Amino acid sequence: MRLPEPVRLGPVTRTDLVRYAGASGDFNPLHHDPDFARAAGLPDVMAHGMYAAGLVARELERWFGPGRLARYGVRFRAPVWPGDVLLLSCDGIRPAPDGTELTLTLARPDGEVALTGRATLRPSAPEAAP
Amino acid sequence: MTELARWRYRVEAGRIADFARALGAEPGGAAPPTFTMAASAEVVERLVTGVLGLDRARTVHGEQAFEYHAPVRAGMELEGVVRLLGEARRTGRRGGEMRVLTLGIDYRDAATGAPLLAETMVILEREAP
Repeated sequence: MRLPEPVRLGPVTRTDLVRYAGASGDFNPLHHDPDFARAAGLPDVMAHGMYAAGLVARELERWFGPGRLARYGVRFRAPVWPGDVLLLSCDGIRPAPDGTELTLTLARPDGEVALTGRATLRPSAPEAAP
Repeated sequence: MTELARWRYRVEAGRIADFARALGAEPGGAAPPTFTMAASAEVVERLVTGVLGLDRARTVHGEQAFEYHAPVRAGMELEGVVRLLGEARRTGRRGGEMRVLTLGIDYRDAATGAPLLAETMVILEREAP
């Protein structure tokens, strides 16, 4: 399995965050209400961590096909802000007991890491056939 | 392991499509990998502001992990269980103390009992200024 090429995601818009809030049911005002976000000490609304994680999962399905994830985990490192274009890169690939494990980094435009992730892919169907 | 909540969630094709579109994904297949965030949103929100006693303005999502056993499809009814796996205090990068809560969320197909997903969610609350 070859390492996928890095890919740019976004720019993240406020409308994206509103749409994701509605679809996910996450109405935490930190993600859609600038007054609440500022009162909480943020410069602006920030994206849901799981919005960014969802974009990464979307790319995994585009790279490898749907239904192949055995595991997917993310660690949120820094907020993603409206206007951000994010760079998703796959840093490593190694065998795992149940498939192949990728390590992933999603970085903001200035290089700050927004999230790190791991995804374990099951072998694709032809390989798994007896 | 304290069980915090148990609930049922009906997976609807329209919700799957809205979720996929919200992530810029092509709608019309099985649920996207992070779709169960929609299944747990109300329950987790109620716990965060309720029994877990977290301050929304100081609380962030730290980590999320999914282990997939079987696909989630439109028409399924999920049975979800949230458990408190752990609670700790940690010093944050900027020196303040943080409360670290780890929740486990498990989903089964309510009709068959088949396990679908196991999730771990880490929630962080910064200390009050």
